[in-house]
Amino acid sequence: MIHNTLTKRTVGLALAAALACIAQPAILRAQAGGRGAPPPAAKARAPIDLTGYWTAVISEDWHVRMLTAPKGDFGSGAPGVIEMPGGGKIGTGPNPAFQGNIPYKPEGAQAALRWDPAKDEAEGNSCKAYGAPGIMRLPTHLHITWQDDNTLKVEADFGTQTRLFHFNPPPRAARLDYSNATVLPGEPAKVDAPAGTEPSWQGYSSALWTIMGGTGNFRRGGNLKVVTTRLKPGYYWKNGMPYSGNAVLTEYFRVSQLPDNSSWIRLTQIVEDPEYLTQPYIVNYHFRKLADGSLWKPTPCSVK
Amino acid sequence: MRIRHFAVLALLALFPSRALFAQENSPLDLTGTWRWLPQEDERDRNPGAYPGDYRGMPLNDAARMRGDTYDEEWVSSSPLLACRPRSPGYQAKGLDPMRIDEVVDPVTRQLVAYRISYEKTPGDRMIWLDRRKRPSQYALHSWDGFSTGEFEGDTLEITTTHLKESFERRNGVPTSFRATVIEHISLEEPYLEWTFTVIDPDYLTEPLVRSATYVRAPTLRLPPYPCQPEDTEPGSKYRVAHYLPGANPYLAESGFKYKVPMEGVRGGAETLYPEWRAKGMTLAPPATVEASIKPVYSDDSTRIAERADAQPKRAPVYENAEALHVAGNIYLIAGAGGNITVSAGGDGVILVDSGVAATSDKVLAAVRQVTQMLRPDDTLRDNTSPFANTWQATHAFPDPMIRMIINTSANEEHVGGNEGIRRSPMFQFLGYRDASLSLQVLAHEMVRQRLLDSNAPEMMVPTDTYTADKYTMYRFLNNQAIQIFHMPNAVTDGDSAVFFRRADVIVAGDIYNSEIYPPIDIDKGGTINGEIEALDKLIDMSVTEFMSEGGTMIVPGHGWISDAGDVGYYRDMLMIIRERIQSMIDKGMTLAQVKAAKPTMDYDPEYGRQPGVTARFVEAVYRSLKEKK
Repeated sequence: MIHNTLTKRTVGLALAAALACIAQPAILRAQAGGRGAPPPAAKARAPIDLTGYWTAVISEDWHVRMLTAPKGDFGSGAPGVIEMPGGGKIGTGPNPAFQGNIPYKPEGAQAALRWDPAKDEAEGNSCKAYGAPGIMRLPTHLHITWQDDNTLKVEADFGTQTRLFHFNPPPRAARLDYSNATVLPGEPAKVDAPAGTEPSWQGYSSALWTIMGGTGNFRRGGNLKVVTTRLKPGYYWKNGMPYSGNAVLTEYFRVSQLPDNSSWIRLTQIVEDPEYLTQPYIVNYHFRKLADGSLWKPTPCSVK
Repeated sequence: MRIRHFAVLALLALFPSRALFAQENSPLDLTGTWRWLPQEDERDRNPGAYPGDYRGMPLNDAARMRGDTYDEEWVSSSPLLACRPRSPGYQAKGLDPMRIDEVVDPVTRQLVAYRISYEKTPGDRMIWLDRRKRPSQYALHSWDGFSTGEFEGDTLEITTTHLKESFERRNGVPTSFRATVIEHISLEEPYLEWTFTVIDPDYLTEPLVRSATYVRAPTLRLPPYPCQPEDTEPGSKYRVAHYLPGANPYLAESGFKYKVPMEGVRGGAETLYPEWRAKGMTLAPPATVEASIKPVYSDDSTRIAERADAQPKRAPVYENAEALHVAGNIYLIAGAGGNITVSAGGDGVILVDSGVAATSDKVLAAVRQVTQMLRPDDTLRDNTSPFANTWQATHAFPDPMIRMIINTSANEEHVGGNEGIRRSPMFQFLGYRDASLSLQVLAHEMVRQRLLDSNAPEMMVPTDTYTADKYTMYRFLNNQAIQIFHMPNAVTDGDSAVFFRRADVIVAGDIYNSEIYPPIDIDKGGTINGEIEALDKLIDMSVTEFMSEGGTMIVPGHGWISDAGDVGYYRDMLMIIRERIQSMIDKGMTLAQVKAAKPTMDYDPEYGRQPGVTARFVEAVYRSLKEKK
């Protein structure tokens, strides 16, 4: 009798546990909407809040980001000024960008050495350093708002630039089939610009949330992935470090908090530019949230 | 029959979801070998920033002064610091490849921790994910500190405390031992994005947020790193390479070479924000590499000692006497005024120092707690059954017997509890039946003299004294030798260091305090030279386990359990300040002028936060040198 009772209780517990596990949302399902229903809008699905006023905090690559460095300064000083112990003068070899920060091919380095700010200004290209691969590196404030339920607007007061992140319906996520231990790949996210999109400083940006957590022992969160194409050739830094019109910029926006309750955007930028780069150029940038827009001060593009 | 059917179905239903549990514990696969990508601040990493280059750092003036007076020869010529590894506040800027492994609970198979091995760090850095509590504030600090991690979405957030003093840039910008480092790690295959934020109440005015990128390097194997400090000439005397304030001739080098105005080179929070650019674009860089830079230090960080002195006087509060393990059978009781060291074992309890009088009850309770942490030796069996022997010995405890107290000095925070402890029934001293061999309270003879001179209560005064340079206890106690070393003319003329040889623990008394300047008392025979010699002796007696970390544990008079690396920093700090004050004396400066010049300003955030400590210390050093003591 006792044995029978225990068995029933055990089975009951097992059933409850099994149902609870099946009902738990898996990480990889997080993007999808309900079966048959259209997925909720990007604004409603946001795992992190990027809206508000933010300020760049320039703690790295300081002299090439905060100021306008000399021509040919790839992050390691003007050509021939700084000597590496046992390695000669930086910026003077066959690839002047060698031992700099940007992984340029010789072609990219030579293009950097042709920087002519007066010519840029005369040709109406004063905004060449304010394009999508450049503006987030500069000393700017950001104002991030939802333009509509599926478009995030990022404005920069430095150079008075606007970026628009267009969310497409989320692609089908990868799925794990535990019955035969296989992974069913998801469909790739759509990142192509609509046909006929003209190249511009800010290009065309496709956006996608990655949502994780919220169950088990880790908190809900995620990131915003943005892929930008259709760029006009421009500069990473104000001293004419170039990227080509074929550059593809992939960014990941994340938000974190510090113990002093300050909120920060952690932005990873990856530029792929086979024309000028030997490998992807990857750097992280940091923006601290501001209480309001009192520091917002739009200024025009400048070649200085 | 039907019930069995359901059970089978239920168990089958569990199988697919078990894998989900495993994922939820570990949303990212951080494991593997990683190599850094040199695409940011490349020159800061290799070969390192120029002297005085603080671009992009929210430093205060105390940190600038530390950096301005830093000479890289210091670390390279120091046997203790030559192999100093990088701390989490800088590590990701270093050139080290790393390997990350999972530590998994063998039963639940849940992820318990990540273990990170860098090419040039001692052992492995552990990132605990099992929500364990942080160690006591009195626990040992290390190069890697104590790290806990928690996942939020696709990011692992790591919080690290208990760090040794280290650096944020290789040109001498310091990170205090009070710093906390917060790291955020995200994965975008094959890249690992590593943001590390230093929060340093001593040397930064706001968090310093930086980042690095690693790329997977599956075929990379970390090479061995047998770092051995350089041999020294016989008889060579250790000196700390440094610049006197205002004497570093290389501070303009970075501004000149990078064409950056000195206001930008000097850093500071305001230079990190967009508003600074308009100002910066109007300023000129130094005209020559030899441009003379005479820094002025004047911000809040330069007034820490004054602010400490201006605090209203409050009676000290001793809320808790906390017991924690040091090594072997040696424990620390902290929070009772001065630190108390406990040797516990089969022979009873030996105390080194007794705290202040008001805490004796708390100290006795902590001693009970310590002795209950001990476990019976499994090899000893007596007339009861093995089970009863073990069970009763671990669940019912007699009061411990305190056999003796050794006092390291006559300071009230170290001898104040002598009377309360001696009057306790727990105090059953070594020479119980023979007062002439009492060995109740042992100290150097000068401690006894000082207490008698100050009319201290009789029960506070040591019953037994020694006068030799070294005093060895007549027998092993708790299975180890105890040696007491006289440290003449350090803080006073009666200081002792107590060495528990088997546990490899040295009790330093006030010769070394991890968080305050030494309370050198010139009128009681203390001198700065004797103090530095005493610290040299402590370092000579110590052996570190690996790369100036661990090994011999050193219990300070106040503060956290330390090792020779910590004492080395402390000794070097005193040597630097001694030279600064000597140079001021050589210029004919009076004590008032020396105090006004604040020769300890850059160290005050770490060691000068208690009222009166800095002024007393500066005066002691001045008088030591002026009076040639």
